[in-house]
Amino acid sequence: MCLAIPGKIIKIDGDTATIDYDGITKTAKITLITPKIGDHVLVHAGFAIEILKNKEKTNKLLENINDNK
Amino acid sequence: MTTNNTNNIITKINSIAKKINKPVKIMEVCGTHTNAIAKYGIKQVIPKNIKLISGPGCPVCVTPQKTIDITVHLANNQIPIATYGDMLRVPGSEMSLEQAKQNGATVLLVESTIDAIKLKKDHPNLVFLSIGFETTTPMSAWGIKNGLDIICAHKTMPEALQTITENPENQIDGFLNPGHVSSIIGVKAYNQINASQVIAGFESEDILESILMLLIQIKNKEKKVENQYSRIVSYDGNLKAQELVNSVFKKSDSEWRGIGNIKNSGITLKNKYEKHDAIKKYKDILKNLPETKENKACKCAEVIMGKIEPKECPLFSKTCTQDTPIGPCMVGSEGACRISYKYNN
Ligand code: SF4
Repeated sequence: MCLAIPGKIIKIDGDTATIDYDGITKTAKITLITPKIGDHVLVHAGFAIEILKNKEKTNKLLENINDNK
Repeated sequence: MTTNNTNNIITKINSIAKKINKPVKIMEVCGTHTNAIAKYGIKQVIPKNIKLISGPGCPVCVTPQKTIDITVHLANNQIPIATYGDMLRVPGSEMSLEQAKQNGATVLLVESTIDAIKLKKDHPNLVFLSIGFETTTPMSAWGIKNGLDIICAHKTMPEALQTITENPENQIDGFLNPGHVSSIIGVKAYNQINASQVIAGFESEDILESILMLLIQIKNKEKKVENQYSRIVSYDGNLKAQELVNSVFKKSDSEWRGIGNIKNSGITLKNKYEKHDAIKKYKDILKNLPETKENKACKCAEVIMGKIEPKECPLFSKTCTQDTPIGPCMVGSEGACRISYKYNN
């Protein structure tokens, strides 16, 4: 239900964006965010809900985890 | 799960679990996490003393039976209904929406409120059965602003977490907080909850890393909220979405299947939008709503609270299967029974 799928914005037309999901394109509303073309976004139930801040995973965290702490 | 990084995380999990050296109960409160944990076999790679249990994170499962009955009753009284796919098969006291449809009622499946608005052209008095947590609420708010009538069954997560934390019977050591709910409400929404919490992403490594972060908190007896899913979740969350939701809805108490009433854990329409509340609009039809009869044999209430595993329900995979669901936990794609059935664990 709370599943959200990442895709890349390739076109913006008013409150609707065309999103490329690895070759399949679909539209989604961008009422909830202020994206630009090229942004990677997360789409849930027809709406982009967030812009991915960093496409790479943030496993930098792990480097700071010291299990002897 | 074979990358070096994954192995590295698993090694660290093992080492900390050994140091904790007692059983640890971690609850995931998002059905998408329950699914990912089963799909990636996470339970099989973590140490035995770390127990992952599913909480009330499947919106279909926590929707009270009365809400299903109300929707079925409206459908049987010529009100066209639209809803998300999983809701169709949830058994009501008399029948499911799918059975109402087979009997001639207009019941339409949609993937978004955008689709529901489009359907209003052919069905002007369409009612949308609106379920889900904070991830899905902004879409309903948008629908209402565009003229959609709804049965509002939305629920909010932090209040449920608070209730689970406060009940000493539950004894949960830590929570994996829902990633996409958190993208809307932000890290700040959990600050008041006195429990070890990590907001987690949905890939196998995200989940393992979040478990590791939780174990470190548990070992150090820390109770705070950390954010593993920072590529999506910010401290404040999606302010535009929050503003949209707050312009349409106000907080209300809400009834959860398996938990009961939780103060401020739901939302209802603000006065300005009350005319879109289908329960008020069709109160005359609903005067004749038959009494709700719950199937006492179904153990969903215990499954939802992580008190029993699906396979401990006597009906599991005997009379209750994916094709013949008896309770909502076997219907929702995020329901613990359905996930257990699918992954055979
Ligand atoms: S297996 Fe079926 S009957 Fe048992 S708790 Fe799950 S949904 Fe209910």
